[in-house]
Amino acid sequence: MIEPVDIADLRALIITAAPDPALARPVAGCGPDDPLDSVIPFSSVIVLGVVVAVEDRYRMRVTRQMLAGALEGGATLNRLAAMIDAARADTPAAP
Amino acid sequence: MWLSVVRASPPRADLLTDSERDHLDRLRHRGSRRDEWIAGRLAARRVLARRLGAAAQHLDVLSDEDGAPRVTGGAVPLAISLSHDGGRIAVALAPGGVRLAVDVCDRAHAGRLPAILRRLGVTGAHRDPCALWAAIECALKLRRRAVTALLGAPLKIAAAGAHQVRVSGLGADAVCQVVSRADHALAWAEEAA
Repeated sequence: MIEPVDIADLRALIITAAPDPALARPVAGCGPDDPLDSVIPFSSVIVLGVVVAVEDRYRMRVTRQMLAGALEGGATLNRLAAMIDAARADTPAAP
Repeated sequence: MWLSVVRASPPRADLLTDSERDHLDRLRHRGSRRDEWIAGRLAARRVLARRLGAAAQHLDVLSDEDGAPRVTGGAVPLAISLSHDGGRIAVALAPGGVRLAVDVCDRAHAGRLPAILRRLGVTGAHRDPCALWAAIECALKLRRRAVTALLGAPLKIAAAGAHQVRVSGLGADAVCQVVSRADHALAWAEEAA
């Protein structure tokens, strides 16, 4: 049985992936359904940094389709967690 | 093309035009993302004023659905590209009829970029990972592709001149100028629309 992704872990992972943790700190307190792009500059390099960190941490491969699903309409912590959970369960990620 | 790299000024929304403020309200950006959006418009306005003088007062810098900036309100169409990183803003401007892209990459990213570039299968072409990344972002903007396009793309970067790289795998090849500075790297490209 795979444990669901811990949102707190995900927050820490995103803050670590940002070049300036101070700028990314609002992620620590934002709502799990808040679009991350409205909270921090969720730039391409941070998105890709999060992809690499997620792949390392959860031992999975993020595909273009999975990432597109998580980013569609604005990436949120819950959407990213759902993407990871779905990939770990080897089922398609829900948007 | 006019290319400027300026320091971000304080994000004073009161210095935006009415149309820009309305646009910003609709975007619902908050915090640093909102500050960044405002600072980008103010930087663009400074460059527009430098190039066009008083005529720049009547221009708005809004954004398309994909976030790409566009200049509206002028008699002559203008192409624009903006990039923010590390408290600096790169602004590229040109008379309309061209596609423009600019990207600035702060050295703060240098530590994590090698892992990202490895993940994307990018090797060689340039020793500076920040310059490589700026070129990739520049190509994405030029082709109006999202960051997701990078995953699984047959991405290749080859030297195309002393300060040029050719980015392949994101649609038609993009030839980008690149420069490496002590604290950042910059890439830009211009082509006929």
